[in-house]
Amino acid sequence: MYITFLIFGTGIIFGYMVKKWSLTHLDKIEWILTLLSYLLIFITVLKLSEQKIGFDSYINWFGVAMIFNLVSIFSSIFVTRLLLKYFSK
Amino acid sequence: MTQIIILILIWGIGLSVGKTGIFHDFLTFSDLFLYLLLFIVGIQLACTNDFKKIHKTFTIKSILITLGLVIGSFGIAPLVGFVLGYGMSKSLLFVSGLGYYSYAGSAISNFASPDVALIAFLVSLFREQFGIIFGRLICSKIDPESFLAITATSSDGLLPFIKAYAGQKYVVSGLTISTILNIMVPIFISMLALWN
Repeated sequence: MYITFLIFGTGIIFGYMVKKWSLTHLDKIEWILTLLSYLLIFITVLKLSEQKIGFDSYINWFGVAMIFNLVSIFSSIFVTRLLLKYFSK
Repeated sequence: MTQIIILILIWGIGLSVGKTGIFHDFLTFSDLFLYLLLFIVGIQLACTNDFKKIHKTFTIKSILITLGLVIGSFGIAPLVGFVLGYGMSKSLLFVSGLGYYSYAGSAISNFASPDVALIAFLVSLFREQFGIIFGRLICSKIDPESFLAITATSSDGLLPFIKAYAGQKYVVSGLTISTILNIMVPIFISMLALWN
């Protein structure tokens, strides 16, 4: 947990310095970020593929993920509307 | 559409290559890539936001939408988990990505079983795709604030859609919410990792 904070904080400080000294172009960072995101998804899939998992398990997990997703989305919308109704001017 | 094709390709290649075990050693570097992602997200946040002026974009509305998103997602997850037969910590992990799918799946796979990481990844991915597919409908039938409440990834993936569906005036709110959540998601996942 502390390493996460440390690295994230260092990134923010480094980014602030980069911006201050105009050392970089933002498009390059976004490109690296996209590539890294895909790489991390690839790693997650690799970890998963090492398990002996049947096709029916994948179908089951897709269903579970869809239920969690839909319920959390509508719950978020409901709570947000409730908060905005009572606390927003 | 391109993004979905790339993701399907990654899945196909990952699952078939993973069976061969060629990239087994490569998995030991997963932490390194994760930290690199956090570091670059930190740089991007600092470059795209003026931290001296950022407090001006923290309007009551943005904070309420962020709170609604977080409370709504984490509040309902244990209940859904109870119905589906999952424990509280697993249920919270499933929704902890809040749309930040590239980070959530990989970070959770470091301390939880791969199936939990996969479901967390899929929940976040579906959340973003739901926003893209039903965003226009939500903006017209409910309100643009509800669209902003759907996902945390509005700074990159959904920004053009916020502009197109909700309008230019919601872009700043979208960026503020995504900035807060980009910082909060690693904290949520780290806290849940300690709990596990």
